Amino acid sequence: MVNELVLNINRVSFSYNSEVIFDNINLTVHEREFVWIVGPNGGGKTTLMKIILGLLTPSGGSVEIFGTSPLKARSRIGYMPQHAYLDQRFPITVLEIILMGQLKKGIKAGLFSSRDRRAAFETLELIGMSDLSGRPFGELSGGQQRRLLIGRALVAKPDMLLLDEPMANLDRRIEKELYDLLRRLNQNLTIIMISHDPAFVSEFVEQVVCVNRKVVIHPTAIMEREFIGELYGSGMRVVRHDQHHHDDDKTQGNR
Amino acid sequence: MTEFFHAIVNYSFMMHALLASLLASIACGVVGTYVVSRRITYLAGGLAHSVLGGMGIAHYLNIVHGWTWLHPLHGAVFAALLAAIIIGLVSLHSKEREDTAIGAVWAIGMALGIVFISQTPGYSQDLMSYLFGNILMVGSGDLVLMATLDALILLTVTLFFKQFQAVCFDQEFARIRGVNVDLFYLLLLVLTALTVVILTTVVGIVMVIALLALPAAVAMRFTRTIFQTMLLGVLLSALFSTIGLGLSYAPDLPAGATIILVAGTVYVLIALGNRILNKLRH
Repeated sequence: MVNELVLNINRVSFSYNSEVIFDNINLTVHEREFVWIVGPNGGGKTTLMKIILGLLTPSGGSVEIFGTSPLKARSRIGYMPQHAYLDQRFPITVLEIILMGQLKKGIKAGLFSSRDRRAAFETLELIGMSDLSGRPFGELSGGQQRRLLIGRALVAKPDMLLLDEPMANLDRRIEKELYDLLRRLNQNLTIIMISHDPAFVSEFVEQVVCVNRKVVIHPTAIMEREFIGELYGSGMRVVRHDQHHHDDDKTQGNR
Repeated sequence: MTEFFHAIVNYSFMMHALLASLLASIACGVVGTYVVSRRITYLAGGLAHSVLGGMGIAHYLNIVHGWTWLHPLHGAVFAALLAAIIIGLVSLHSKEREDTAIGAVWAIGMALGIVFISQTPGYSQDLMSYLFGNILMVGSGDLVLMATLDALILLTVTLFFKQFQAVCFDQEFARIRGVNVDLFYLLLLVLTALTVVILTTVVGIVMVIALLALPAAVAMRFTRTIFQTMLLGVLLSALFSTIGLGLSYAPDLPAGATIILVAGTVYVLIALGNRILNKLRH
């Protein structure tokens, strides 16, 4: 790995309501890597993402992004939350949601500048939604909502994208479109993505991080041995997630 | 209705009543949009009822201790702001359940109000007008206070429109973008508190939630953005209160209750109409 280290999670522990979620986890990510976080529900994937974003504070260890703290690095991170958690009936348009990505630190009064609006339209172009700028959020399809939220994360020109389940409940064709978009973006920025569906790992993913109370990292090169075949089309690798051998599986059980 | 228009021209109390409902509509449509979209109607209900505490104490000090400069509406502003900040801080920083805190503020405010009003001569009539509103008693001083609060609300919403929108739609994202989410949420509750006080003069404490939520809820069915919802919310609210006031005049019905019935009828009809339309389409 010749690229610069952009994320360094070092011996991090985290508990919620006296329940230990993470105990002493480590993870490093380098510039322009594509990292896939997998693991069962309740295993701590979203918690890990919130620790990276500084929304949650670890009880021990350190998190360094771009050589600084999550709070200071936040402005360089584009975040896409799980879209299911947003209110489908909220009166807001595509353009307004994209503009939200340009909110800035501090108490800045007034409306968005014309420069902000130009950047918003450029981003709409990039995600192929220019003709939908006035459409209300609730009238978009699931795939369009996902693209829009990726656009919102992109508009402030971040150096790292954090995506929480962008592929959930999408059909194959739209999933493929989103992959293509992410692959293009990955040429310029680091992407960390959560997916609860561990069956497919696209060919351009460099690290698969399994989060299930512990963090286990699979470089994709090693996973080739667990290759089952190109059953699901070209460029997809199948990770036999149920069979991989974590050192802790015997003691921890599969929670 | 002709009697109503005649009365507006000829009696200053009717003119005041109409002005009061129009001034209330501004705050109602603007802040009601946030209350409905952020789903804090119950919280607004708590603020509204806690206002009785402030009104009761101010009224008691006014009559019994001769603090003639202290108007019940001043007490209402103070109580609403205090309640908003207490509920806001509990929901942001404490492990206490927010709905429990709202319930407590709601009941404690009312209890304080009832105790103080009971110790003031001539209490039953005052209590009724606080609870159910008495728009025909609105004086020019009240109108000035209402207009001032309206101006404050409009100024704040204009300045921080994008922050409020983000805090209501996706608080976590706003926080990551560096918006001081806690501050703007508290500010939103403060605006809600001021609006509740304005509406109290029109429909009384008990019915504030309806007037706050119904115009915005109806508007939201026809609009695409927060801004459009606010505009239509203000118009609908003005329409509901003018019609309610007009209908109540000749048969001498309570104005506040009539206004709520007009708003409620429109809300129910539109909700039902929408259901039927959806059924027909599928």
